[in-house]
Amino acid sequence: MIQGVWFSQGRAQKYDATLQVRAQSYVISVEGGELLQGDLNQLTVSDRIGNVERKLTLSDGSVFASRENDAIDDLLQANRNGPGLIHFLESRVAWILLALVITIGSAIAGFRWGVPLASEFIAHALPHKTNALIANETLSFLDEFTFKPSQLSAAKQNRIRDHFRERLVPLDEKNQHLKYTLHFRAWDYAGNSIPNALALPSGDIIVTDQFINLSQNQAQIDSVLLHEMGHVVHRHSLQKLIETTLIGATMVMISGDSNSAVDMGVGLGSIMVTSHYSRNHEYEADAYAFKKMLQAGIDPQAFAKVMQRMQHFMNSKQHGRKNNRTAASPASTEKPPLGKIIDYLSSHPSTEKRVQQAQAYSQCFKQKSAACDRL
Amino acid sequence: MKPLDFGGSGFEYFKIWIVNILLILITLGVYYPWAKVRNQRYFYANTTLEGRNFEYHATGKQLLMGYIIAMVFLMVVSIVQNVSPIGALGAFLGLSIIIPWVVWRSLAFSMRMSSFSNVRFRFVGDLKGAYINFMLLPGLLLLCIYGGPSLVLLWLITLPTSIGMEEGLLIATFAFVLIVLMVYLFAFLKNKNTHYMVNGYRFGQGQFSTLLETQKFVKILLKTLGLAVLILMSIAILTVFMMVLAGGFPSLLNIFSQDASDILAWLLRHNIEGALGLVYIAFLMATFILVAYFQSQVRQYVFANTVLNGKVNFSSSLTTISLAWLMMSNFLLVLVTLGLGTPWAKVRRAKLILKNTLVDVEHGIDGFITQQQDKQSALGEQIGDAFDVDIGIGV
Ligand SMILES: [Zn+2]
Repeated sequence: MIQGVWFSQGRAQKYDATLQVRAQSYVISVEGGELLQGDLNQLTVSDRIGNVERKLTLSDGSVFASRENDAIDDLLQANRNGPGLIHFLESRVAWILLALVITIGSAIAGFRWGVPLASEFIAHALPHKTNALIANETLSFLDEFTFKPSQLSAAKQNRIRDHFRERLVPLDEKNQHLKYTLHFRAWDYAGNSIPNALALPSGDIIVTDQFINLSQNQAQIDSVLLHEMGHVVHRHSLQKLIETTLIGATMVMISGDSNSAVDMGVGLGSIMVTSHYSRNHEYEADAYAFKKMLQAGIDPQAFAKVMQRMQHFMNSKQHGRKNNRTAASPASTEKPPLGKIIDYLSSHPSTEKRVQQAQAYSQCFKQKSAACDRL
Repeated sequence: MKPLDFGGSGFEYFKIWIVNILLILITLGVYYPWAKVRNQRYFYANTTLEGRNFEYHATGKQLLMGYIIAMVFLMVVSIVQNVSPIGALGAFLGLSIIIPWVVWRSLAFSMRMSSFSNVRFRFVGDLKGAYINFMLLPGLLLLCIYGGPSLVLLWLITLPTSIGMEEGLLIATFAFVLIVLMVYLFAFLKNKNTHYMVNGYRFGQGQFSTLLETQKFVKILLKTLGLAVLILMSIAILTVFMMVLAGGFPSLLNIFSQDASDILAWLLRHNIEGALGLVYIAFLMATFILVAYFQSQVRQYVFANTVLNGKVNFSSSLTTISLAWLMMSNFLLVLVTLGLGTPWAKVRRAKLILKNTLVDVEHGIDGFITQQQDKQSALGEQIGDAFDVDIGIGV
């Protein structure tokens, strides 16, 4: 016999009641003597959650409620599907621990490899048109609000452009369909002229006057242009877009109807994860540039040199640290000042690390050995 | 007056929570609506008053369609925002037109799906009210917050030379008027929102009603701002003190002549990341205290002035200190456990808030009866639910 309460349909008043089951039928006796009976199949029983009150809805809409969950499960076990699979999972501690391990494991694996791999796959599976679509208005928007026309002489622009078209673009044999276009712009920010280069997914590569002025020779310009080509080839803009969307959706699901404190943690987490991806993109673009430089017979040391020059320039100019929010720029390379934490949050790797990589490639460039393949 | 009680436990909810996450992962997100239902049911059913409990009646199947639409919609918005700046503006405008409707349907849905002691809730507020409360008034406030300063900037640009005494005075006056306007508008918005929602709630045949004054909201807001100034000043003094302790900072008097970036540069030169971390934590704590103060005060005022069917009264005994402590300790709990402590944090929050929610049960609840509800298209309501428009009853 199960003790509980009984409500008639839609009414708040409750009556003490008991439930008994015999074979395939139930009898509910309500205080005051009323008897309700019927076939067990006509009862709608709510799924068990923890130990909260269970509701058994009768065919007339009235409700029998009881907290004697185990007894109800026992009764139903014989006749129907019992407390349900989900509660079975929830009530087994060993299963919980397994769930815990799987959850943490797959979360880490998912963020570390799953999301980047999936985005890379999707980014490359999409037609090239998608790239053009993303970049569609970006350049005109930047022209409107960020850039000014270049002050470089037309002769100089043409010389760099020709060199780019004749020497660098052919290095990208695999992507003949890509149309690379080089743009020159001036970029002033807070009274300083900013050295920078950025790539749009369409193949438009923009270099600023200050970058051209800071670089000492053609090799240095080439190293950065190749880095930008690396971003285009690897479709990093598109990947980043997909990654951000995936992470955003995942975070929303994890936090569910969370409160502000949880949100803060989740927000910080997603910043860390997405900047981790951005840093990997930079390394990938660097590696692309180094390989192509070896192929073209340019010493990768040039990249190290120009990075250091830009960093030095930014350090000397910048007082307050501003976050350079333009994606895909090798030039916003000032070392984040707040040590490791900010280093980890920053979307660009530290210049030192990248310079080290360049020097490693430069070593084998000088030795003319094939060992670079393994770098 | 009797307090509500939360009967759940952290570990019990942890088991539900972790299985939810596991199934969401395995099903690549499809399980989310069912997970949400189990979640809601656990919290509703564990909330009791005199042996009667709340119930959440929506099913995963009911939520799924709305959830899919919401997901597709969110993805489209996020892509459009990233693709073009004009698209971002369009997405913002589009959202602000849709959101009031979604909130309206969401209120209706989640109320209809909630019951207490076998009697359903309802929401009968009108669509016009939703647009006034969730589009027009917030829009005005945004206009004030962004429009005012932009106006000053525009005006400054047109000035030929440096700013004189007169212009400075004019700007100061304008800023003052703007701040007063913003405070009043925010209080007005808060008041109207609360009115719209509370007066739209029904419990069976019973009507919730409330009569609030903007003035009181202004008072609470001003007190919060005063508290903010006080706390900020103590943090500033503490920071300076720490700098002096860390050694080498010029003289105390010099500080006031230096601008913020110089102070930052000094901090960076001396590499005291620890000190900066402390200041950051201090700011976080200050935020918790301010939010806790505002929320607990508003809650007390609204509850004390709300009545069900003209005779059932409510009251909130939630204090600033207990709420602030809850927020801080929960934040630490979640941070230290890398998120695994979330279930305990949620249970702790529910326990504290419900314990401090008091209901006058003298006149009894037995007389309430569920009312017939007209079945409208449920789609909009479900979309609202998927967007997580949060409007819990107990909280
Ligand atoms: Zn880059």
